[in-house]
Amino acid sequence: MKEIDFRTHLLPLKDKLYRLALRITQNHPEAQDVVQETFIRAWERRSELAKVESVEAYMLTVCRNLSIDRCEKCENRNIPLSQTDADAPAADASAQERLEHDERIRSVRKALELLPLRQRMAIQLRDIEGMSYHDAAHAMDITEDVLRVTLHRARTALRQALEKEFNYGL
Amino acid sequence: MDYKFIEQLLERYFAAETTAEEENLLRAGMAMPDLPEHIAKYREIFECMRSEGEKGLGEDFDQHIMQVCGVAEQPRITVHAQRRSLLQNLRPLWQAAAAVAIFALVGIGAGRSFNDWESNGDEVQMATGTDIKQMVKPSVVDPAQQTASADTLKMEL
Repeated sequence: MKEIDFRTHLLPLKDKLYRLALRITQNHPEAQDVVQETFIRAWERRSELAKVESVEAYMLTVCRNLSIDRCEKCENRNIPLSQTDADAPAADASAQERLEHDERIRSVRKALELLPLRQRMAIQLRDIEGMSYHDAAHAMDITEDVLRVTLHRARTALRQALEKEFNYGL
Repeated sequence: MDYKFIEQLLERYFAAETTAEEENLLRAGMAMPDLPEHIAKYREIFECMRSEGEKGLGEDFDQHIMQVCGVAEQPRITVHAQRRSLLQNLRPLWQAAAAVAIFALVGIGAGRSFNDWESNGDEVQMATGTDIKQMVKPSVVDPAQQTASADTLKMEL
């Protein structure tokens, strides 16, 4: 039985947990609280945690459940994200191009925020965290086939949002 | 350049049929400049995903969560890097080489002086007929001969 060390096994997962919590709650303070609670729960049950196959999968599941609980409690209090600046385009891009680029990034982000919860989670785990279909499906407690369908819908929604923005821009 | 491959990957990506490796290829492809417009218009999806993946919690959170969980913080060990020049780095090598050189010089010097001494001895012998080495060599006196000479001395007295 391996011994769980807080710094070695748990702390490196903080950013991944935070991003998942943020994707679900769409609120920075809520996401931070969820991560804190996830760590507290995991540390309290470290003897159980030592027996699990994947500490990361366990932590992600706890984080997901806590985030969904929080979401249900404060359904209408979600503050849209989109506080971060859009990625800077190439240095030689004109101001107009930069503006259009920023606008399209904002559209994608907005479309991502408007996706149903399951689709947001699928995009988060697969496209942002780069997890395999197997691990992402396990963390979401769904089958790989369901994950693929969810992911297809989510990506198509993002594509349509971007196409709409692109056509509107023209 | 043929963008057909990227286009195909893109379609498979939207259909959630791509593998992790194919998605990595697609990300690299979408970051290329001068993509045709019908492909480039989806670039922002990948840029958005990348920037979303860079979000995280700061070090303040680490200290806070460790305090909350009652995990003692380890004293931070700071190691100051020291800038050393190439000559300083090679100093042990120079020292070892110098030591070897000194030993070699002393050995060669000692060997040469011994040879000189031997050749000088031969020259003296040739000139005087005396073997200088024999002169220097401590004479071993026969004890019986020594006793006899002592008796002779007594008789004379």
